[in-house]
Amino acid sequence: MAMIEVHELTKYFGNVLAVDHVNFSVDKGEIVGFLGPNGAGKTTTMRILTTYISATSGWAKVAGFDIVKQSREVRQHLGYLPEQVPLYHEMRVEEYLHFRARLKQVDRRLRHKRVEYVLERCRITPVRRRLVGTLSRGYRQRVGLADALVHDPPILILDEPTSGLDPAQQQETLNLIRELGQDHTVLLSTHILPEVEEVCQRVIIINQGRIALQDRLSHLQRDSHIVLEVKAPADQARHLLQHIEGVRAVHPVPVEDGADGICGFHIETLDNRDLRMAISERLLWQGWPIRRLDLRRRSLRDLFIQVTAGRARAEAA
Amino acid sequence: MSKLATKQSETSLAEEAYGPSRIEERPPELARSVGFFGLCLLAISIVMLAWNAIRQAIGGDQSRLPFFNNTWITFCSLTGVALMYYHAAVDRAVEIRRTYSVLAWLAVGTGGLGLGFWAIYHWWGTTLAILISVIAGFIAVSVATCPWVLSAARNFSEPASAENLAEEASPLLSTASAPIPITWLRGLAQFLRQWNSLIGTDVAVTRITFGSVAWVALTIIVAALLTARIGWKPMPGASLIALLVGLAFVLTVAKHEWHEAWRNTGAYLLASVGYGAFALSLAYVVRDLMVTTDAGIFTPAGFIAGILSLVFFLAHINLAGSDADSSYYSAMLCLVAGSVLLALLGLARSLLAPLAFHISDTWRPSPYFLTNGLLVLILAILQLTTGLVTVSNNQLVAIFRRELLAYFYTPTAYLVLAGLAIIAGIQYLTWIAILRTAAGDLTRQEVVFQEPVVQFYFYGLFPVFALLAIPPFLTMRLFSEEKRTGTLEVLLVAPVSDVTVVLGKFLGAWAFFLVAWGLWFVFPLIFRFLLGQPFEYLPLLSFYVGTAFLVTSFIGLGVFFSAITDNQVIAAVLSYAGVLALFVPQLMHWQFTWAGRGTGEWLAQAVQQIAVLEQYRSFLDGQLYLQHLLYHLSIAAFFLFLTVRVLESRKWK
Repeated sequence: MAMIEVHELTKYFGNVLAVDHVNFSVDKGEIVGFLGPNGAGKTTTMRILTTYISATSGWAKVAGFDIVKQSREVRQHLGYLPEQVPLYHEMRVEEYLHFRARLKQVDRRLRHKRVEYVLERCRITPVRRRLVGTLSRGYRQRVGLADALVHDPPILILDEPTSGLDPAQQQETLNLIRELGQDHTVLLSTHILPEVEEVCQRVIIINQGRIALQDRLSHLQRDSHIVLEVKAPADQARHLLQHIEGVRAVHPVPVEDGADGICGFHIETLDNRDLRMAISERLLWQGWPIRRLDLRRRSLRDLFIQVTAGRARAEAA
Repeated sequence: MSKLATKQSETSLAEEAYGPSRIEERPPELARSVGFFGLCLLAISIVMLAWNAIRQAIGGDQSRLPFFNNTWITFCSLTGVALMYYHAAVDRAVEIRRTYSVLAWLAVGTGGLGLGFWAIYHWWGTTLAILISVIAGFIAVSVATCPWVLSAARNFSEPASAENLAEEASPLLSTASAPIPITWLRGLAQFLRQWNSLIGTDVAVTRITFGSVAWVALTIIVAALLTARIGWKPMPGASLIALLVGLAFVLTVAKHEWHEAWRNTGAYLLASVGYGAFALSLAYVVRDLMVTTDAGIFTPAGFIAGILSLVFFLAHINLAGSDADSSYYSAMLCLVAGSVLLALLGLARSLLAPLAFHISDTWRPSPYFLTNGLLVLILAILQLTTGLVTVSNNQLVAIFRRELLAYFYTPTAYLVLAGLAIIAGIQYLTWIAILRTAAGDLTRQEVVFQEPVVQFYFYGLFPVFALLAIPPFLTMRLFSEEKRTGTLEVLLVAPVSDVTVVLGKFLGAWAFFLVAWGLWFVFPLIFRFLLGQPFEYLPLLSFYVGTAFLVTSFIGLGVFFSAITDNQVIAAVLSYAGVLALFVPQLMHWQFTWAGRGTGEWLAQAVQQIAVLEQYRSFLDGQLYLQHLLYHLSIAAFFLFLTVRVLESRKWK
């Protein structure tokens, strides 16, 4: 069941096309990473989904409710953590969460329990009596997250939840998000890619307002190629490699310190098979010493750069 | 840091390393010196008092020994208490705050008993029976509904391990971390348990009986002792001061108190005092109902008691804090139910006079509504709204509460209140001076002066200036600050409609203005009750209601201008311009008057109707015209509607 469904969503700010016919959907229980370079339209899309602003055209449904016609139900089913985590600085953490719980109409018999639960869950119990204004960035982020969670929404929309945190806090936040993914649907925007690889099951890459790519992370990571550096005559080696069974293509690539006859190749294989054993066997048979031979899975980083840069080149052309 | 960290296991080590910065309990040396100095001053004033008493006892009035002036004693004691209050507010060490809280509770208890006794002493006959029964009833209810009491045995049998870490680090901490009252209460709880098993009744019933009997017995014994033995003249003023000072200390010290049991005990006791005060005011109304020959004695003691009860309930909520606590709800429900009862009683008594003609030929109770009945109703409405607003889960009320409290989170509230108090004080002195010159001498009872005399108090530069200047100051931050910090996004993404947000903010600013504006009305009350000068006070009521409506337009347009910018200064400037624009008809009216154009012309008449100061004046004369109220209400409604549109414009901009 699709918890978030976006259809041909478009948003103009004046003449600026911020979001350009975006389509995607997020299923129940998924953690989806929403990636893109700065200014790609991530925050705008999220704000449209939270009903804070409305789209120029297209429609979207959150938890089955239309974001325009049933905006209140949408907001009832959604926890949102904005990027800058704006909070009332003059309130105490506890007071703030109680106020938010009241505002989000958490049943009064559950309210106290819910607030205690999110305080514990987001690890802000030690600062519960402090003024929000005196907290550090990391703690404010957690208070914001606690606020997003307090009415137990089925969907969480988190805009860069780890920006501005130190590495340990980032890790902690990611662990928390992964835990939350067990019973919430999470849409998470960021441009820190290792984070996405760690927690997300699926990624949506948005670039210049358009969806550049969306797929399961496991699919994306299946793509792999073999990197080889060998001391051999380049033509012969290439010829040899092309005739190994299962090799689809061989691309010569420049090597660092290649002066002494070392040449490098990227080898693509059919069905992403791991042919390292076969290759080394053949090369050794020839008596060519191997300097490097490894299997490189395509990282999200490569993909991201490829997708966004590719688009940029296409635009330039 | 390292000492703590080495104790932790590996997982919590990371937690500790990335935990919040620790609060170190560093002894506040300065505050302690200040507190000690305050204590010395207090001691000096007590010594001076004692010396005066000894001198009186030895030589009588003709003694030639030197004596201390009362002004000095007052000055020393007041300064001493103020300095100690500062110390209590700053020092968090466990012994110090416990000492202060015990002392404060003693003050509250003494003050409460003193006041209670004073009430009984003055109207011994009729009041006593009612009072005792009502107090007993309310104490019974409060004891029964307070879950803390029901679970006291469990709470106190647990070791005091919940003590905060910071307390352990306290430099003054000795082994006596288990406070004495707790062991005492534990003993009591165990005794009650045994008693229950002995006679086989419900736990609650036993506690109610014991609690109420103990309280009533205490009051009677103290009252009897004071009158019969010592011949002590009851001092309501001193009792009231003790009560309020004690309350201030209790609330301040309680901010440092992490220990649940202490907080709960405090909250429970405060609620009990609140019930007591409430019972007192109820008793006065009941007495008024029975004694129909005089004009009633509700004023002012009953009113003060009622206000006190409200203060204590609010203090209880402040201390009890969490709204999941059912004692909080029961307290509020009692307040609401009580206020409804109060209102009904007041109405019933007010209706007695007109009904008397139908009931009997000879029986003629004095008319009641205009003085006492009205006060009873105002009190009831105050309590009812406070109760409902505190307990409600409505979103509008949630936003309203936050906005109202936001003034008190920042210095705004205190600045406005202090400023208003000062200029109201100046205006009051001016007023007295005017009255004095007009009447020749204040001490003469027959003051020949044209009523309503309050117009000389309110129709002046200061009050008009306050009325025009304060609303923009209150409204400027409502939306602009939220826009600047971005909290507006969070607020609007909560499942709440724009209309609710706008109305909540408007009502919050309005309610704060009403409270601040109410300060102006305290001084005439002083004039009436402390100086004993009767005057026509009814225009005060119409004036308050009228001005309350009058500012709705100012606040409404302030809310609007705050919503269109994210700069508070711009919002304030625009709002002042708006207020000025609303003032323009008044200028035109003056022009017309000077030009000598009569009121016959329709334009002059229309302008006079919407001239702010003319309306102000008619409120002061006791005239509330519906068109004046509707004029301001409709302006407010128009601007609030625009504000909602401005908020919505984020969607299509």
